[in-house]
Amino acid sequence: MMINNPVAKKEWSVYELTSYLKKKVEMDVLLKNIYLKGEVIKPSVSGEHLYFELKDLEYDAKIKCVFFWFDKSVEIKHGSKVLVKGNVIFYEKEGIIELKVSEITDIGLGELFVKLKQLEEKLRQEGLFDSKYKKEIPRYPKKVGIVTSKNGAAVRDILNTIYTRFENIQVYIYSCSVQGQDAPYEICEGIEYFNTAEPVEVIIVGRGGGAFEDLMAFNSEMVVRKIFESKIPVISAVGHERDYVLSDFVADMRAITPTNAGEIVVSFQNQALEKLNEYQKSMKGAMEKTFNMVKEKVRMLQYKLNQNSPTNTIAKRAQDIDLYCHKLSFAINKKLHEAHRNLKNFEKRLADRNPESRLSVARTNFDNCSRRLEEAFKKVFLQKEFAYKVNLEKLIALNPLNVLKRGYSITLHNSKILTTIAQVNNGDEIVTQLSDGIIKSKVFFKQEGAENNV
Amino acid sequence: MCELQRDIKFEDAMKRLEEIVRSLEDGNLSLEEAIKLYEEGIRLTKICNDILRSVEKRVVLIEKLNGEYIQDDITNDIYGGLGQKE
Repeated sequence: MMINNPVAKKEWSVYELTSYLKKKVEMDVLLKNIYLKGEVIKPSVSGEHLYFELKDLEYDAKIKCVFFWFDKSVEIKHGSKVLVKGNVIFYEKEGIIELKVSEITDIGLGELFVKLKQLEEKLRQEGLFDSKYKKEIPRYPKKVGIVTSKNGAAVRDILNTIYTRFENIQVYIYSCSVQGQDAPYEICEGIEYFNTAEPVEVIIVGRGGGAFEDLMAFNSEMVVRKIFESKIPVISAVGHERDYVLSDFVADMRAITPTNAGEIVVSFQNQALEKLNEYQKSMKGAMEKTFNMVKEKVRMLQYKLNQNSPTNTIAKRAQDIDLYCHKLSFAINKKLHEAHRNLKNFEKRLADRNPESRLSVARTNFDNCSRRLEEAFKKVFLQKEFAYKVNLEKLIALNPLNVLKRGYSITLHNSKILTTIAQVNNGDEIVTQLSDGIIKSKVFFKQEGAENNV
Repeated sequence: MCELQRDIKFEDAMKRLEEIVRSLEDGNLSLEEAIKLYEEGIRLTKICNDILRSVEKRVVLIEKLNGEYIQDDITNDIYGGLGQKE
């Protein structure tokens, strides 16, 4: 039932309301310098300021906090239990309440933490975390069990991771509480269920991130022991990487997040599929290469065979013969050509030495000489003839016969003309030549002197 | 061959496949050897593929209600079967 407020305005603007609330909050002395205990959620540093949410240690309640120029000496982590001092302020523009922190003190995890440490030590002493008990996680599981809440983010993360990478896998989700009082029992039931009623190859036990106490079920002794007893390998996947719980220590493998657990489960199968494809391609490629090599070899052999076939050999021989013929005719031609050239040369030289020319010279000379001879001869002849004629005339003039006609005679003895009386002796026959004949006489007297004593 | 080979472990098959691929890629094989290896490789590939794909995607949700375990196949409706609330 609405209370009719007479002073209430009929209609507020947003700004009117937020301004009003701001005044209300900031005027309230109860909200000045208050101390708050809580758990730090998602701290983030921006410049010199620290932003985080402070969560109630028991109830589901949170408030935003900002620590301007915060004290860096205090290490503030997600999940830290802290005591903060500050003022409540209201931001009229965003319409939000925030605690403006002035002091912060880490109060640690207190009793709970101490108990947990003791339990961890005890279980460690017992050997529950020993690596010798760790079972191998199957690399190619086809059936996976998950023990988690069906309402959490973890189950969705795991399924998304698995099915985006690899389709051929069965996932059995055992839904249980993952926080609160019943959680440890239900988690143990889930592990038991897969170990008995519905065998799987690997079990993922876990949940998404949360506050320290939200993860406590996975720190419970019964869950740790149940994981230890499981015949089936267990992957623990609780919260984020920085969240460590005892389940992580006892499990056969720790996944840093539920998503990581999904990766672990399918990564090998996924890789194997990729590898198989790769192998198929490689084998095909190698085979093709081998075939091509063989083909190439066959082609080469065929070529060589063709090269050495009788037809080819004959053709080659014919070609050789042609070549030799060609060479031969070339050589002969060359020789001929050379001989021809030599001949020409000799001819030329011979022609140069042609006796014809010498002959003509000689002939000319000869002609000259014979002409000169003839002329000389003629000259001589004429001279001689002239001399002869002169002589003849002289001779004719001197002819003794002509003298004889004038009364002279020639006396001969033994065919010798007598010029002296000494040539004859008395008794010798002598012949006297007269102009019209001869007289033979015998010498009977000789006398020297030419006086006509006779 | 098939029955005998069917019993081969997936990992062994993969290892053998790797060897086959390496031998084939070395290329120092006769054609007959290569063909033989290739055939073995193809067989192994098929076996491995069969092993990997031997299972169909299946999502089953198990809940304990009133002391009874109820299995619900939510393969085709994963996100209907899984609440979105934290």
